Amino acid sequence: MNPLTSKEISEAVLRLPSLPHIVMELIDALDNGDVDTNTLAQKISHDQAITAKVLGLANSSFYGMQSKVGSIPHAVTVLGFNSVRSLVTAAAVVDTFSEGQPKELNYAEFWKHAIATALAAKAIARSRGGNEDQAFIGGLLHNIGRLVLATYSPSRYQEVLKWRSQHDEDLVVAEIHVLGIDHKVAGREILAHWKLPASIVETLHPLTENKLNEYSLIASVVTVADAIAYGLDLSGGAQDRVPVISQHEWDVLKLDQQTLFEIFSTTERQFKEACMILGANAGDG
Amino acid sequence: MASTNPSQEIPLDQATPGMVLAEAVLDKSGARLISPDVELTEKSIHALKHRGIQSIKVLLPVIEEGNSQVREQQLQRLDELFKNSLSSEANRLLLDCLRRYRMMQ
Repeated sequence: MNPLTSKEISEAVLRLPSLPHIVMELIDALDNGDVDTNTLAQKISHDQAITAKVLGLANSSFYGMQSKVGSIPHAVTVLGFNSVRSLVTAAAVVDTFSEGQPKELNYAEFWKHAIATALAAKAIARSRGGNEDQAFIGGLLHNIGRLVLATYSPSRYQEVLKWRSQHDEDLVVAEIHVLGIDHKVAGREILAHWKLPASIVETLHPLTENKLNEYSLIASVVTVADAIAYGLDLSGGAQDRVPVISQHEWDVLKLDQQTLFEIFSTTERQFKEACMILGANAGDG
Repeated sequence: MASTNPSQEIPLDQATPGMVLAEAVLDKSGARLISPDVELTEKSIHALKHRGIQSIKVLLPVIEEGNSQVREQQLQRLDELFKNSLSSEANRLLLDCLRRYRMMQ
């Protein structure tokens, strides 16, 4: 079978639904220190579905706030603008890609794994003093390329899944075998199309041995978070396998056992609630 | 007081040290030989046999058994999840750490 061409991938990207305008505005502001957070908070408030989910998360064990967060501007005050932006992005992305999707991909499982990875990435970034919001978004979107591939050609993606279960291989290996590319390539296309900042797009760049210094820390955080999310068995897929972590990605994070235990328990504790609020359980049962 | 845990009557020759009595063991005249909640020892089992006791009622360790079953399943699932990535040292370290984490719970 012929590999997917870059033209086909670009077409696939264009076929995906676009993100709500407010999310694009928030993403635009990611690299921009000089943003009018009051105006943006007002704009977020106009989207009631997103507002409800963001306030749900703000009041969940995710933040462990003592008093109730009642509005988006209030959330910006107590959680900070960056956290609110992560939550809005999470709510909008899960929403946008949960309806009318090809049945080839199990969406409940897909988003559960994405949310578990986002939570683990945030916990790792916290322990390392890194950027928690970037880690969260990077973790949430690390598999978004699968949606591009499954949407572009449901039948070919079905073959990927079939090949994987026949050979009990990693999904990436199956994607390369059947489609000639893996979902990270497709993921970079869509993240660039959405104009996400380089720091997020970089998390999907392959690690090359002679350029270790240029490899972003967030990319290592996301790789290890991906493995932890599978290791904790939070998506529960029969074919789930922990992907390989390179020595470089592991070493650079310097995670000792105590820190890992804290990351495991934080991720497990926040997972159910986050899935429920974001609506990632739809399609279960 | 007798415990409310599920119990089972077993023939005395199946009793092993470490089992816990659910009910008092009485001799033919109704005199109490051993009180409930007492852990059996080799010595006490021998003494009961000597007294002609046929069967006793012991507590079932259901809760612990349930836990260890869940843990066993979790550990097996971990092996399955990691089976394609054990060539990487980092994955082996992560697996060890997850195993210890599960054992701790």
